[in-house]
Amino acid sequence: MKAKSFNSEVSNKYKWSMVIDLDKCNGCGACTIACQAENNIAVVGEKLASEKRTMSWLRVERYFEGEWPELRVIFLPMPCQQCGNAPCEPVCPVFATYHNPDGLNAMVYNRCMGVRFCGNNCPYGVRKFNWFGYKWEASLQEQLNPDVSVREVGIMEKCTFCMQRIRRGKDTAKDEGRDVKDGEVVSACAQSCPTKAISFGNANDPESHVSKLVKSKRRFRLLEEHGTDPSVIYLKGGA
Amino acid sequence: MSITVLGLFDKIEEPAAMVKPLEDISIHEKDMALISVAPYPDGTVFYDEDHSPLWAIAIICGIIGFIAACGLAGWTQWHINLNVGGKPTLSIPPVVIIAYEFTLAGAVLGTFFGMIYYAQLPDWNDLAYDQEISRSKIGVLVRCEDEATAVKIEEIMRAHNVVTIKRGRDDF
Amino acid sequence: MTDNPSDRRNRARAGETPSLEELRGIAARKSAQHGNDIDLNMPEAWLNQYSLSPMFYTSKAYFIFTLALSSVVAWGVACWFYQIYNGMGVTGLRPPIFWGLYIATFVFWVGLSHSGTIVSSLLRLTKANWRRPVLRGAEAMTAFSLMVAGIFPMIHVGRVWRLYYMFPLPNQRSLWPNYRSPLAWDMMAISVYLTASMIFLYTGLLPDIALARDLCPKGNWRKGYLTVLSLGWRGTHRQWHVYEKASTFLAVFVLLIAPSVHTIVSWDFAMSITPGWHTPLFGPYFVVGAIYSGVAGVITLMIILRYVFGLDQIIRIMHLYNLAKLELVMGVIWAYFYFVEFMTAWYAHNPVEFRIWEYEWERFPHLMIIMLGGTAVAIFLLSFHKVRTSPAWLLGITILINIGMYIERYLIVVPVLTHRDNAYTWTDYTPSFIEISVAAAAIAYFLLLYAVFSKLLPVVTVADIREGKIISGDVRIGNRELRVYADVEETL
Repeated sequence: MKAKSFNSEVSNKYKWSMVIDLDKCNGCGACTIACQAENNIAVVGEKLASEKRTMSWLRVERYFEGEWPELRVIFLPMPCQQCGNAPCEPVCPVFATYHNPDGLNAMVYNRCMGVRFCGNNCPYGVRKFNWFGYKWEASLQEQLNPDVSVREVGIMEKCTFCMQRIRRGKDTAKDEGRDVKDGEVVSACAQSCPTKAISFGNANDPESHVSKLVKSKRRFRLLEEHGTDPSVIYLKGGA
Repeated sequence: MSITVLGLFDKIEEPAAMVKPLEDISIHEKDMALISVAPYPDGTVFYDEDHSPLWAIAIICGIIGFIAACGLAGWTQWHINLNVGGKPTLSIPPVVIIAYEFTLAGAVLGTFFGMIYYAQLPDWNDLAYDQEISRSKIGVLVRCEDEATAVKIEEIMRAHNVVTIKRGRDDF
Repeated sequence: MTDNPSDRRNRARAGETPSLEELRGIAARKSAQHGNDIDLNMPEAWLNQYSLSPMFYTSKAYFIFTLALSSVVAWGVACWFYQIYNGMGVTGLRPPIFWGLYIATFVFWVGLSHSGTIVSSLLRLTKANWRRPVLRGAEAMTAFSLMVAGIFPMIHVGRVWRLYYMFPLPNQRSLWPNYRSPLAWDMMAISVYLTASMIFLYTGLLPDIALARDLCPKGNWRKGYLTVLSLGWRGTHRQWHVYEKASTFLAVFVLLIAPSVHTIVSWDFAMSITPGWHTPLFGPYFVVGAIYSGVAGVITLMIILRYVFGLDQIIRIMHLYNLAKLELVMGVIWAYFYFVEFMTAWYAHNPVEFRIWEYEWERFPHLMIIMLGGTAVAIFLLSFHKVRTSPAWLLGITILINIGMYIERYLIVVPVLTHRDNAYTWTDYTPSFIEISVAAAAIAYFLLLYAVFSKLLPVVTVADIREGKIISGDVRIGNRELRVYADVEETL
């Protein structure tokens, strides 16, 4: 694994990117629910949710512009931006989060001690912490995704670009002796978006639709002045 | 086996005056020691410079600490080889910080244990001492080879208002 | 009974030592205009009695006080276990505020630990002769506040039972801590500082433990451990030479370690990219704040020791006066750093940083006024000679200063985290009852450590005071008698 200093270029076949078209997002929230179902995210209940302790890895941010009746609402789905120069990574004292060769910011739940410096250093605020040990009732445990570990109390967690699906896709491709094809690996949020606002794929594959979207003229990234080099590209230009 | 004579005095002038008579019977600084509850400036009674290489021990232990830090911070970073936030695999500034701390820690530990060693501590053998010294008596410890000299030393001490005289073994 | 020097000397020579009440009565009658340190006319035996009296005389009030402190500490420990069992959710923390009262308390206690280093090392190295009685109290304060501070990383961590991941223990998975992280530097720095200050404290204690061992009343239970801890120290001139050399070295090393420790603690914040934290000023700012807070702590402690143990013959007004002067200087320097920090944020008007400043005034106006007003009042009052020589005023001022510094630590940690880059995440934080209990228990723990220490080991540096007496004398110049200290290069 090669990593050049102070830049995120990793010589690798895969660079998973997500493109979110804000002109198409209608704020339905299906992505949030899909993410919660796919990744065994705890449902915290009304009281904790009012204390801003929801565990959702992907949230849809809502911004209001103007005054009623000329009110406009802008929806911004905010997953983990999987930064190339992730500020959350170097500050973890135990290497519980690191950069993997696919350009993703990986979490090692077993290693996390719960110091929470990474949460402080994320400028987007996408990292979540397990404030309590959340339990599922016996029957609800049937719905847990067996590919994703259930986190215990005191651990940080965040969106992983559905790492389990990437893994499965790469395993299948390896068994068949080929690379992952475009559209074979899709994150839960991209899969469930009714307007296809979220696109997911390998930006290093010139045939994938994501790599074409990434070059769009409407593209921007969030908080680029921090030099975090996020892998999530937003598109906005329309009305 | 030498004989040690311990004499306790009230004032510092008395041991100071004793130095000349002791020299006359060939007792020099290396066979004398001053025991007191607080340090007297060197030369109050006699000059006996300290030759312990404490500075060398501090430096050596500091260097050991520095090397340990380079190993701990530097080698472990290189060994784990994980990319975190685009930082280089072996980043030098953190190594500098850890090395600074460990160098000073090594120096401190070296100084401390060096001091313990050169002060001949821990001393569980009950060397010549009297508890009155903590009540501000000044103790003068004189070492000699035979009984005759010891008797002469005692005479000199009595001539200088000694309060108590005790005998010991080789207590240096 | 007449009270004149020769009378006292005769009584001491006859082996008579007065009762503590009589000693304190004499102290009260002494005129304050002498102002200098130790009454040179006090017979040695009485000095022993006086300086070791905290150890050997225990009043009933002490037991009540210690019992009260222990119950507060026990309550804090119970709260901590409750938190471990239920998870960090019992605190008031919530994203994006991942650090709160615990970290602020941690930084405060690390800051307080700079007291001993500055008072003890710096004054030792500059050969300030007035330092002698206050050394032990200051060094003990450093060691104990570090012991308290070291607990807080354990408390604020989500999974305490995995804390050993932070230690570089070789394991079969070849996993090591991440030394790029400021928290790993923190751990190293605080461990090193704790070790160094414990060693410094113990080295200074060695002759005093030997003294206490010899002067222990017959049959006292302390004799056993005092004999062991004194390592057979006799006080031969050779031992003193090595001891003095080692003390100088240790003073230098501890003085080098201390600013680096608090700089590294400040880098827990300055190394992040969060607006409001990411400023290079934090290093020196924290160090200055620590010294400011620490010296105030030493003054508070000295006044308490004076009063509780009746040590006002040894810890005299002059010592408080000099420490107060030092505190005044530190206050001015701290105010300068605070102003610089405010000015750059205010002028450049980075939207998030400016919003943080506004929020501090909107949400915590009372805290801001106590902090800033407290420093202003302190600097103003400490400029007056009358205030610097009055223990009552100094006690009030220094406690106000430390309350202000605690608030300052809190205002560094929390408002910045409530207002991050992503405005959607802005939220509020209030410490929960559990957090406040644990923080209060930390203060009780510190005082408890100090109370126990005062009964086990001498709280006053008797050997240093004796040394001061040896190299000093009164000289008559015309009609005036002045105290002079020998300018000896070899001794400290």
